[in-house]
Amino acid sequence: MAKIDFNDNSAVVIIGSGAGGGTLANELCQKGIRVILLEAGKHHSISDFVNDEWPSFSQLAWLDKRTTSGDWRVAKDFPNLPAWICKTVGGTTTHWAGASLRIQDHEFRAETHYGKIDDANLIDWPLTLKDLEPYYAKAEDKMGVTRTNGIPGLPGNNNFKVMHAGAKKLGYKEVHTGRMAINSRPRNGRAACQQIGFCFQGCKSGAKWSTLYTEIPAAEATGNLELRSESHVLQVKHDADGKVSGVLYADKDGNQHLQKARIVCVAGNSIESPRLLLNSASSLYPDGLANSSGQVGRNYMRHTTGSVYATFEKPVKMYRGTTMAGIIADENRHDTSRGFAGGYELETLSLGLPFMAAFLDPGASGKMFSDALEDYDHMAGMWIVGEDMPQEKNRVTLHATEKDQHGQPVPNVHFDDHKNDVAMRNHAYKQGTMVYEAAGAKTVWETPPYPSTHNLGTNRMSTKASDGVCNGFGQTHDIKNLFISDGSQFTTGAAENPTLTIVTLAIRQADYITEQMGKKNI
Amino acid sequence: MKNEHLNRREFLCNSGKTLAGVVVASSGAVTLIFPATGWSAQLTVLNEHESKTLLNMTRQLYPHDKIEDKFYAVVVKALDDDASASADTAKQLKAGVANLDKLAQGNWNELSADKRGAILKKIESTAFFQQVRSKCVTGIYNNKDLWDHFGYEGSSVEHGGYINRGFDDLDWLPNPPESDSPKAH
Repeated sequence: MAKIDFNDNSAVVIIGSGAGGGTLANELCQKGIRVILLEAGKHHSISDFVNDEWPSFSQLAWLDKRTTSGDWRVAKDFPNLPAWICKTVGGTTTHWAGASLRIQDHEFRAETHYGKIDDANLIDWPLTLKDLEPYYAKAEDKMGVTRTNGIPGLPGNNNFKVMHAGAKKLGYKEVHTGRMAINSRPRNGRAACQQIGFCFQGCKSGAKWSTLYTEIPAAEATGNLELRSESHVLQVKHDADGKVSGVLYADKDGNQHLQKARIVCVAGNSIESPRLLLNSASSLYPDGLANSSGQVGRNYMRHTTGSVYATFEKPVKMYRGTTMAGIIADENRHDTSRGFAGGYELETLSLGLPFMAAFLDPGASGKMFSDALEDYDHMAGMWIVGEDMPQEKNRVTLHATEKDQHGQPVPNVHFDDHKNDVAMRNHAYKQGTMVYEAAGAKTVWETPPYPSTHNLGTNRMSTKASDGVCNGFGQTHDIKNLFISDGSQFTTGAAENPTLTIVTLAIRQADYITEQMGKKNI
Repeated sequence: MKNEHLNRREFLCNSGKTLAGVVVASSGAVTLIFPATGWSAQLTVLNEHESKTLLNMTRQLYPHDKIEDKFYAVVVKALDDDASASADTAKQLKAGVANLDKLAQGNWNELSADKRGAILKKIESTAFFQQVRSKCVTGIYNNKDLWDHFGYEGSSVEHGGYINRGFDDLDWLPNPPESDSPKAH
């Protein structure tokens, strides 16, 4: 591993080691560029992961204080947990389920395709599917996505069998075990899936792609990476010319260090990334870095989620095997005859008993609820992943009074559903219910959205500098050596799980940074 | 000590099914004891009436007929631990129980299940209710001794996952075609 001096201003500093930051670090290191990768969380290994929901949550989740507001139910049920994302080396790639779907062509042109939608801050992405296709291909190969590159699909588990049977009876056509970054057979030094059933708790077999044991060790092997875990960045610093010059961070003992940098890439997920830019306000940038548009922190998206769980006469044991075991893709089209713009995917999901009790109907008690859990091993479940509308008022802001352990203002996450989101969710609840009823469900539960796992849009890409924070390469409009490298770049949410696109954008961004460095533009 | 007049025998005789495990020593200290299972726990903050009320309340919130009282008593013990660690929590629990009795215009425990439920409904937005409710969610459903009851198998990695242990053993629906669900490699 490289050792880079605090005063060395020639390296690229990347903040966050998840899908965006971890991938970008490896791509740059492979090209011979020296990188310091700062991660706020601890450096765990696969052997540390536990098949036990609450202890795993304590081990991996980002639990620093956050607050919430808005009409979303999360603000009531989980006021200090707006998101279920991770603080650990590998970031949320330790926790993600593995679904790897390309965003569709029309979704990159949401404004053009959907037209004007009241109260939605819709614009087109400053890039197209065609621009991304070669990078999607690289990402799928890197991650080992099933049903691409000749990799077979995963075998479906019991939960998938229920979904498949109901979906086919209903007439759905595209129902299969998905495109998953989980090895269906050994590949690239990683094992095949053992159907352990704890994808969310860190994959114990390493079959699921995570930067923790793919990109980061590959980057270290080049000799160009210095990974510093338990290094929580407090501010991005800039010079008199307004270019970023380094970062101020706190180490595990709370000691603060200033690390100089040639380029800074922010990849702390869509809550921490805008928070960091806002917390970096200075006399030159009084509204925070890269915020001349006023869009930093705005347009927070979280996908129009929700779940449908159903109980059956006979056992299902949905918790056995991959958590996200299959998909119904028929509803991912844009078809306003359904009463909303954009589309959604239905993907199987299961929770263990402890989390099912916490999330099935948060705050609920009584016989109906107990009876559902009494039928836990007769339960099947699916998750809705749909495109939600970007709204300026949905945003990450700095709390006026609450401070974190480093004395920095904590983020507040405000979210109100758009009426399009509500119409889509209700449609999806109805379709999911019909799928399970077709398979013979006794009772069906429409479960409200969990704390967000797909956090998007708070530093969005735009063609015009007045509409967003960065350009199509994630380079901020205001500061040319400051980049956004995570899902906060997303201009719109699309219907697909975001990780594949985050990885794709990181690979493309690495090419761009390398080229710009070569031309001495940055 | 107001409880000194109660001896163990009288208490057990008077208490009915759900209370069989609440034992009060002559000192007034409450012990939750379940001789058949060998489980017992000494409480430090909650008195006999409070323990009895909370035991009833936990079962009423998450009723599972086949789950023994002992498992609900585990939640009461956890609440007592919290009360022992925080004076504010202790105060909230004691005031919450007193409020149930106030709304019952007597002893909440002695009301019918329906009437008890109606009173719980009235207080469900209170911090007391949420404190007890959320303790139940972890105390009952995150109790590994109960996972077998619910048909949850817990950690699987030490058994090699389910690849050879029934991840796809559901046999009451048609199997998907291999194009949709390939065989395991």
